Amino acid sequence: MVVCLYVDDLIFTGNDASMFDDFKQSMMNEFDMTDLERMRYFLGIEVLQSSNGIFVGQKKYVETILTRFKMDGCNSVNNPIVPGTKLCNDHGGSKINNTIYKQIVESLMYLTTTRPDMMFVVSLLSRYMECPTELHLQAAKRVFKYLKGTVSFGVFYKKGGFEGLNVYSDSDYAGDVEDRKSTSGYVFMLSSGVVSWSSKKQFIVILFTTKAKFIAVASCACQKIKLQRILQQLGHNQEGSTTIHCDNSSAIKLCKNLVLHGRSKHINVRFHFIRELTSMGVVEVTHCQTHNQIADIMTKPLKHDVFVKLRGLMGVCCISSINDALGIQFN
Amino acid sequence: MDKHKARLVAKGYMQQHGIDYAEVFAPVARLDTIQLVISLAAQKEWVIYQLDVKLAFLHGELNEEVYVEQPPGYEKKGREQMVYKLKKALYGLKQAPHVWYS
Repeated sequence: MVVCLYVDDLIFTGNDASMFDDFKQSMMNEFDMTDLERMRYFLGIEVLQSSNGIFVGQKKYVETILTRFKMDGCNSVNNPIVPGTKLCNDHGGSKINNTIYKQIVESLMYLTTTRPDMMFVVSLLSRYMECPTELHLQAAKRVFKYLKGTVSFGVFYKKGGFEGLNVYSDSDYAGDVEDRKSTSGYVFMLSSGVVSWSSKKQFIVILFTTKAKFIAVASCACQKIKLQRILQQLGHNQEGSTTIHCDNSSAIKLCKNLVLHGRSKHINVRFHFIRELTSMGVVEVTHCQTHNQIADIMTKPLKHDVFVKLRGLMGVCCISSINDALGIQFN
Repeated sequence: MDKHKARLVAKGYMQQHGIDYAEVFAPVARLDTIQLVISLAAQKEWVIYQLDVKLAFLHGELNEEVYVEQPPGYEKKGREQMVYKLKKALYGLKQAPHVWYS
């Protein structure tokens, strides 16, 4: 049995139903409790459980923020950001109220808990909270337009399937037009659903694509170890090493090869952490084709068809599409 | 209307560090952990149940001496100058989440 505690809310699950009642009873004796039965709504996340899997989404929340920022009447668009867009500080642009902009970013941040497809654009928008201009507001409005068309999207975790963790790591190269730092992103998949994801601007300027990808793999390895430990504690041991998928073969070689080349010497020692892990066999970095690289969605604005494909691979879908495909009705 | 709700809230911003409170740290589950549990449950076809503690923060036992003024409109007649000494936490206290956890 597994129990998750969040201040006063707790959820529990497991394979032994008789333990549930004992646990519930002992909790009831200790505190005044509200029994909410099956999990439906936890920390603002809507949870729908069926015999085919579990769906998590934030439909109500999306509707609330669309109304709050008066975007409930807008037309919908297909992707949250125009492909190829590069945002910059836009010093000459007309300034807008940064309180409202901050509120927008903050509301969208919370949405990324069940919407990995929005992760990149939200973290991009959040870089300009200090001095937002009309340009940034337009970008934010596009996100709302995208939301308008994808209100009931969320992550669907299918039952059964592949057991282990599958990790994708990617980065762009010098994506930020001002300080020329790269963005790294990772996606963790457990069976068919995404469990952890991130999109983050790297904190140092990198001279080669290889190194940008290498750093992405290294930061992803830290998260991997953490999740692996939790999985172990949950009695879900994984045999062998976890695979990290990376689409840059030189970066992979850099992870495996202990020889320092003249051009890679200046990479900070901390990133050599990943080398130790590969030599110990904790992780294995393998090559994957760019078009199967799920983490791509965390690093750059993608074309519509690629975006939709990767979104689907992460398990992000519309609730009605599950209903149609599986012939089940969530209610 | 189903019910009326009122809550007595302490003015936590009046509290001074070292006098009225010391530790305020309270751990919570990280979201990716929760996501992991949900996806694991889905994979293994477990059902997830949920419980909620009513008025959780009021259960915490205070370690520090904290006094509160009498709530306006509910002063004890003839003892308006007196204050209450708290035994358990109130909403709004800085250490409320911490003592609830411990």
